[in-house]
Amino acid sequence: MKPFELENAIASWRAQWVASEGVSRETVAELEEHLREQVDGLRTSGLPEEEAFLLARRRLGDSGALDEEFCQVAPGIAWRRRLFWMVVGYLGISVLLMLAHSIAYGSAVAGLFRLGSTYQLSVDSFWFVGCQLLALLVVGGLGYGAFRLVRNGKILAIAVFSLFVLLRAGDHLKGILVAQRLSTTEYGLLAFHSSLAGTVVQVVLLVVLLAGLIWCGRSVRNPA
Amino acid sequence: MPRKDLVAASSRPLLLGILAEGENYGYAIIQRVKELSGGTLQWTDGMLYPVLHRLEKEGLIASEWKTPEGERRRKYYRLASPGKRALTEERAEWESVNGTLEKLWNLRRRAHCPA
Repeated sequence: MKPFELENAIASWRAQWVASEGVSRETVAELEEHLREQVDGLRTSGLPEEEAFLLARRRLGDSGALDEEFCQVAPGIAWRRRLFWMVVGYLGISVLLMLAHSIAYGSAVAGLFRLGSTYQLSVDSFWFVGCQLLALLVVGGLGYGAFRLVRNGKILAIAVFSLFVLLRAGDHLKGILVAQRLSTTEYGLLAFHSSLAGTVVQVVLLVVLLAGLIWCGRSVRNPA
Repeated sequence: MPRKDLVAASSRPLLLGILAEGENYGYAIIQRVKELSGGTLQWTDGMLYPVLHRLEKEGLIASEWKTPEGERRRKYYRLASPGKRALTEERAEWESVNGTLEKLWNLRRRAHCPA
């Protein structure tokens, strides 16, 4: 059994506030100070460290109930925070799709696929679609890893927004370059297969988003 | 421990009154409440802070992060002028309610135990 570490315990207490809606960082700091002072007080009266922490945390109260109280004091904060994450989510998904699309597109232009000479499905079409789905998975995994590492919402927002702008610009540039490099037929074929892959990805995305809504929605509190 | 709504209603004059004694911070305020009530008023520690924040939002109190000599950095609250006025009003209201109840119970007592 791992020995009790006060700082780790306080850190995991603090982590439960990351997802809260109505509580600002300053308030968490204020509550943490209270917790620490309470722990000190209990230790002075003889309680061992772990018991002191558990009692202090219990006295501070249930974080869910506290969160609701704070939400009522400043309802604006909760809505601003929701809007922030909605925009980050939109930007994040757009970045994901653009990156996957660019990877697949780039591979086709670089000659990894021979997308057939007619507007019909060929074996390579399936490889092209598969490449885009794989790229989506890899980029999605990297993005999730980055999200877990960077717990700071602001840094994440800036990174996602910059990527969004870069990829949008790159998209337009790519359009120009590809139109110049490829012959009309080749461009048409690539556009056809790209739109096909795009349709498949949209369907997959719909299924994933629906699953995500149901799974995350189970723990969403309805606003009072 | 009194009813929830009584505890909630009394939290405003209590907090304003404690801050009228001088600037103070969360943990110490809770200890003072326990001390004043002789242990009958035991608030959930965390619930103090939304009430303080609401009072601050109404402009009755003001806050400041300070690090006193040799102590930890804390958020201190003090009573603002609108708060002083609010405290006077609260006091008047509670005294009128209290006075009425006292009259009622004193009369009752005298009726049941004639001197």
